[in-house]
Amino acid sequence: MMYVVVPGDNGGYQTHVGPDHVIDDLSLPDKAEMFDNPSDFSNRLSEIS
Amino acid sequence: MVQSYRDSPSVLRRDVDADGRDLTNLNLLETDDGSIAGWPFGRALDQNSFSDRTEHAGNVVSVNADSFHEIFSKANAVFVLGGVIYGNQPSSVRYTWDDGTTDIIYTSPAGGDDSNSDISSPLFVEPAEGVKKLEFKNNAGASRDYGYRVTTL
Repeated sequence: MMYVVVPGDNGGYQTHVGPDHVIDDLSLPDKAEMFDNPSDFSNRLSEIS
Repeated sequence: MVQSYRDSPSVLRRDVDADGRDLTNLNLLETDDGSIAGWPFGRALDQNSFSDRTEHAGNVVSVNADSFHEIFSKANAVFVLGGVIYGNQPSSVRYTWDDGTTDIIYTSPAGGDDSNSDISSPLFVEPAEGVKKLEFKNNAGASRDYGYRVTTL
């Protein structure tokens, strides 16, 4: 399972959560941040928002 | 009319229709030629597919006026299970198919007023097979922030 955060403006963000082979197939911007651990993912979202 | 009976106490109950056809093992999605009739949503989550479920979400995503926002873009097509977009007049969900062509589902606002007097509308993302890219459009006439959650298989 992979967790992706794409930080936006003013506390906004986009996320993609799915199996590795699906996430690897996505077109993601350079600023996309990848996490293996769901708690790291949640912590990052808390930092942004 | 369907009638039920047991061949004997040791046999499972059988269901037969008015013409005596045995419906006991009938797959209700099976057509007369033995093929499976189209399930309205094409695919659904099951025990085998659950691990492929992928979620694409946006929280307070800023979208310029009359612009499309990309929910996801992939090299290989997926099945869109469904989703919801929420905000001020989201519209025009655009599906890019496996062959690169596109189709747009146009919608009109169907919501209520929020504290900013904007019309906040939930927009349902309809299930679709063979989708490589999914987008929606800001139809509010000015930059707005949106939220969404879409799942794919």
